Amino acid sequence: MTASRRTGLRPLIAALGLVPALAAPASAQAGRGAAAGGPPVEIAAGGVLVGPTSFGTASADLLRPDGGTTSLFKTDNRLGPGLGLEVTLGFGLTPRLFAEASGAWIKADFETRVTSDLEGADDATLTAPGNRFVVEGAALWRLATVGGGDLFARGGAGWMRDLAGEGSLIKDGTTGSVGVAWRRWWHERPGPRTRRIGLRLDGRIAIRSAGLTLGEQKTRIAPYAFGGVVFGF
Amino acid sequence: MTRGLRLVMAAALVAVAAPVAHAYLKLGTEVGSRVVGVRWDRFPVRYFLTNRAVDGVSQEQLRTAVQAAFDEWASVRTANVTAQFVGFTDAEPFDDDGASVIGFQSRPEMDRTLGATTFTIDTTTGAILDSDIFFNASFAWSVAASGQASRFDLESIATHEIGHLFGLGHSALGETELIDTDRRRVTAKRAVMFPIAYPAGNIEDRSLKPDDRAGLTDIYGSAADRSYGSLSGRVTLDGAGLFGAHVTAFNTSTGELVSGFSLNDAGTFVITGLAPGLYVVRAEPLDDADIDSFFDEDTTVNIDFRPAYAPQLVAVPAGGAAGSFEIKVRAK
Repeated sequence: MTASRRTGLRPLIAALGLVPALAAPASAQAGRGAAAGGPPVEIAAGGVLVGPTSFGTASADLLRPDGGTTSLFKTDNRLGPGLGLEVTLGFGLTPRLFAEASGAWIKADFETRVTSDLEGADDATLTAPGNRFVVEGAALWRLATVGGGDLFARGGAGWMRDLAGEGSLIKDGTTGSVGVAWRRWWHERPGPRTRRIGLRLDGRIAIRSAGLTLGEQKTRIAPYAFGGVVFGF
Repeated sequence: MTRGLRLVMAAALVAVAAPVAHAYLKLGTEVGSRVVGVRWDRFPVRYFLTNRAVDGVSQEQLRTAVQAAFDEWASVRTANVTAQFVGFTDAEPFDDDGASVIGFQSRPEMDRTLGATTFTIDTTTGAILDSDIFFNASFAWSVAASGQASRFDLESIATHEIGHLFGLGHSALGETELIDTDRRRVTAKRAVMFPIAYPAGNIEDRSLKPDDRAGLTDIYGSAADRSYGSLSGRVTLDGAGLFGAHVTAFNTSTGELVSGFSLNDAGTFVITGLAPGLYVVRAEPLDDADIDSFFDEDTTVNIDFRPAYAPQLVAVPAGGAAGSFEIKVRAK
């Protein structure tokens, strides 16, 4: 029994040792070229700006005897621009490759423009405040040194939760993103564990599927920007 | 137990008649000083069919069509209703026999009525004890799979009347046009329980619509079912509650329309059986409807206001209720 346990622990210990083992070359790379590489572990935190997402149109239809439809009114739907916060935790796997986990909270209103009322009601723009929580895993590949910082290509996928109605209406979906990230260190404090502080800016195309929607259930995209402070360890 | 109070009421489906608007409505009866919804307490509902055929519909075809209509209601997964065919009978619909009897009767004097439903109700609880349905044999009927021109589809009309049998009133989810000074025909609708039938030959009403399902769910749904939710609010005119406004909830994601009425002087309304989601909610007057298709004949309803929308999108949660809101309408 005891022997069996010891045997079982070995793979776990080996797996835990894998991260520092993989991180070490990245750290060495950072030491060789100050602007070109990065430390093996990075934490970034900052603000998010998300562009609006169209949800398309929908019509409140009645069915005519001939099989056609009569519209009571029409709606044009979207998720409005959003603001939020994002935190990322990245690990250098190789000198060029980073793995990253991120979590974000984004606040954005669901919006519907109602028009073409059959009985002449005034057009109206209706909103509902919404909150979105996103957890994503991503890979970053260092492309080049640009403007004194590192430019990465970034691609990720994850899970999201939309909430509306003061959090009572909940719907989950999946997310993805592709884009670029730029990181520049501006402060370095050498020590037994090198600590750096820098700036990180991301530009992404965010992709969302399912979740809370106002129109057809389709995959939607929106521009997504992140800017924040990054700490390297 | 007090029995009786046989209601020959707004549960008649007409070929050509009155109203416009949109909504499901539950049938109610006064118990003491309050109005309670009528409903069956025991299932399956056991029913007999008259042993009478009419031109175009044999006895067996009547049984098949009525069974299909019951099955359509029983398929609503958010409500629990079942029915059981007991057998053919010599009894007539509307006989005071304690049995639920469904079948044809020739009523040429009811020249706009395709069918009607009556109830015997326990007036102390609102429980339905039995319910009869008649189909007017003065019209031409069909059970053809794809419908038959110039004949009314029996299964469609049976589906409507069985909605009444389960306790649903008329929905106003439809539009009509005048064809002479006091007669209307349906131009479009989205509820089997709309009081005016599609023209002869049409079979669309064999299939329930979201409004019908929501109405049945309101009566027979389970509070523990988290697959649907509800919304509620007030309709006001110059700050005062408005009775009889017709309120429609539209799910922009699914395209479903479900609605109800403001049913008291405070102007409050409740719509349940809604799929979770964001809703556009709209209030409108019953401005070209026969009010007695929905309410008692002596009811006064203000129809002198313009349609208007709720001021925000309404978030209906799963298994819960949206926060209350107010729809302010203006006089015409």
